[in-house]
Amino acid sequence: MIKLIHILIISATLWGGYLFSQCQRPSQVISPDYKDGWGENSQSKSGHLRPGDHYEMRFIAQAGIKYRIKATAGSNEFSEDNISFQLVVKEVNHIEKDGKVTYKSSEVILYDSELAGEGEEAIILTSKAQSLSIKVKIDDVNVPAFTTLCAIVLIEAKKAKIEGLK
Amino acid sequence: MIKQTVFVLIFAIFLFVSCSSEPDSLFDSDQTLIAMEEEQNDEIKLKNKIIYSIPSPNEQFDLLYFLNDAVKPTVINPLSNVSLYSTNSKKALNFGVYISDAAYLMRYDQGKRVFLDYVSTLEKLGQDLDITKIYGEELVTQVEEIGADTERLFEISSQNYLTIYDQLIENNKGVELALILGGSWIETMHILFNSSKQFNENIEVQGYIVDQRFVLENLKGFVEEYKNDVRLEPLLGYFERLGSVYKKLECEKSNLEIESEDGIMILNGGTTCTFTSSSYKEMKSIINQIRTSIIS
Repeated sequence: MIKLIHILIISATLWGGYLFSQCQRPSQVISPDYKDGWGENSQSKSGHLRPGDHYEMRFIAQAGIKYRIKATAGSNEFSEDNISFQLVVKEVNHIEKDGKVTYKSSEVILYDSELAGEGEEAIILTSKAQSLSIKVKIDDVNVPAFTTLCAIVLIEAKKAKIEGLK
Repeated sequence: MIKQTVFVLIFAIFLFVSCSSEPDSLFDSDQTLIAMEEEQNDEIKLKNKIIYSIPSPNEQFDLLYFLNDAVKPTVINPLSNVSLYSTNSKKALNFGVYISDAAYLMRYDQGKRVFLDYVSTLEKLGQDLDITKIYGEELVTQVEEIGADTERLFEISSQNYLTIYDQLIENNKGVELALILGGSWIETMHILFNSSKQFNENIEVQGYIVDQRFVLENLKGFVEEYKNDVRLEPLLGYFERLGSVYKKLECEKSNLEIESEDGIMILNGGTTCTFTSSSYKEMKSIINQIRTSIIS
């Protein structure tokens, strides 16, 4: 019995390592649109997630650079339907009340893949460098439980025309 | 025996489910702040697994090149210093330093001969860090074949960085990767300060150094995942010192404005921070001290 437990643990560990090493680089699954001037940003990520898992990926958007975020998940075949994501910025608002200054911090959802219309993309441009979050979730309705999928978050970037910014 | 087995089982489960927690923010600098209310959106309640992305040195120098096209090849760490590094920590930190130097020189078109010198040094240094099969003959042939295409050379060095990152994660070398990223960022800061020169001499590069507070925050978050390893104590100490200077920035807050134009979300406003003369000098001096202790 003890031997069996040992074998199971070793097998699970090796299998887990195998799975992790098999997750491709984002640009190997989603081709960046080089023709339109986009390139893969170094902050793109891939990794294994399970249905229902929530991950927050924090990345830095530099001023004057356009970023486009795409996500997909799968094992052999990848589908955008297996994964959803939100692009979020933390906003700190200045509030004055009864002579007291208060800063209220809240999260603003800039893009939600589940609510986005057909062809609506997550493209963002900031006038100042910002820390942004991409909140990722594997679909837990259609993807069987205990399945591990390779989740891909591709961040594409290209320089923007500065005159559009304040 | 049963106790041992139970321990192994618990340890294995821990390995599978361990999550990173959110680090303390570097920027509790809102000295005028009286009360802060947090509002989490209810759509996605996280199990608090946070992954920190850090821009590659290539991405950093791509932006520097946009702001300042003058190169200073003398500011880098000479390749001859490689013989000084004997411990695993020193090798990893300086692997990062050299990766940044190579990215800087390649962005400023210093040629493939220079790149091949880095390939040779990084290959030797990488062998002890489990970084293999990246700087082999295949890469040398690839570099030789591209001729004088400096853009392609820059792409190759960028691709190398991503491959190294992936390989270290796959090989469970998170501590080495943390040291490499730390060394790389300190060298990037050193180069940025050299491009920025004196206080207010190059406002754009100076502003870019201010923006590096976000990189420091993500870097700190990444390194803290491995904070139980004593090799990372000095690095986390450096981050604390630098974070304390960033808290001295003069910041002006304005509300964030979000507009949409041609399918692009545009973020305007938000907090604007600047160095004072003293905080600039202090930051520059600390970067110099840290960088000297890393490369010597």
